[in-house]
Amino acid sequence: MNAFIYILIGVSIFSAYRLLVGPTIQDRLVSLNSISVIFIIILALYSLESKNVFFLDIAISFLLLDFVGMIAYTKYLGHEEDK
Amino acid sequence: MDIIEIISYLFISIGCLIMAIASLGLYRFPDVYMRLHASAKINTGGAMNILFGLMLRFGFQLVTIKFFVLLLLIFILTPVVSHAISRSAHLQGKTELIPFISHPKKKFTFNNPWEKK
Repeated sequence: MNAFIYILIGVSIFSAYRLLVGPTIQDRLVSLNSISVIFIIILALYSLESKNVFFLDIAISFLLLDFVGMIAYTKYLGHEEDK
Repeated sequence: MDIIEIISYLFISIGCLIMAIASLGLYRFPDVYMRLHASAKINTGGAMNILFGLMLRFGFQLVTIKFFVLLLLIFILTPVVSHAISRSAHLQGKTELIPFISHPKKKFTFNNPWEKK
């Protein structure tokens, strides 16, 4: 399980490139969403590695908070431009 | 090593491979909507494969139900987030939906994407 955790950390660092240099703000949101899902998977793998169940509860609550935050961001950004 | 353990390792490896290829797509694609297409592969394909592999490993316990709840929440919530991001990108009108046709709220014009500027 340790090797998979290292692979997923590398994947999340590689997809953080779009978070730094995205042209629009929606690119940064896409990258942030995928990074948070990768972080949830890392928590689920680490709960198997350290034999501790509570990391799964942390993962579920993190997923729900991430969902609420993403919906709030897109509601805030979704207004049309005034012309 | 059990046969079920080998199958679970196979599922986890497939999920990691899908995540690596999709992050390459997130780096390489030119548009917001195409990047959303790559990001949905990370959110559903990779994550659900890895969680299903972890579910197979434990048998029938309380932990399996927690993994199942996590899988079900990812299955429901992440396409909603992708849809909301694409809707906000479409309503802001910064990027064009189809390269041939400009934003539909504006005047209907054709523009040539291969035209040199």
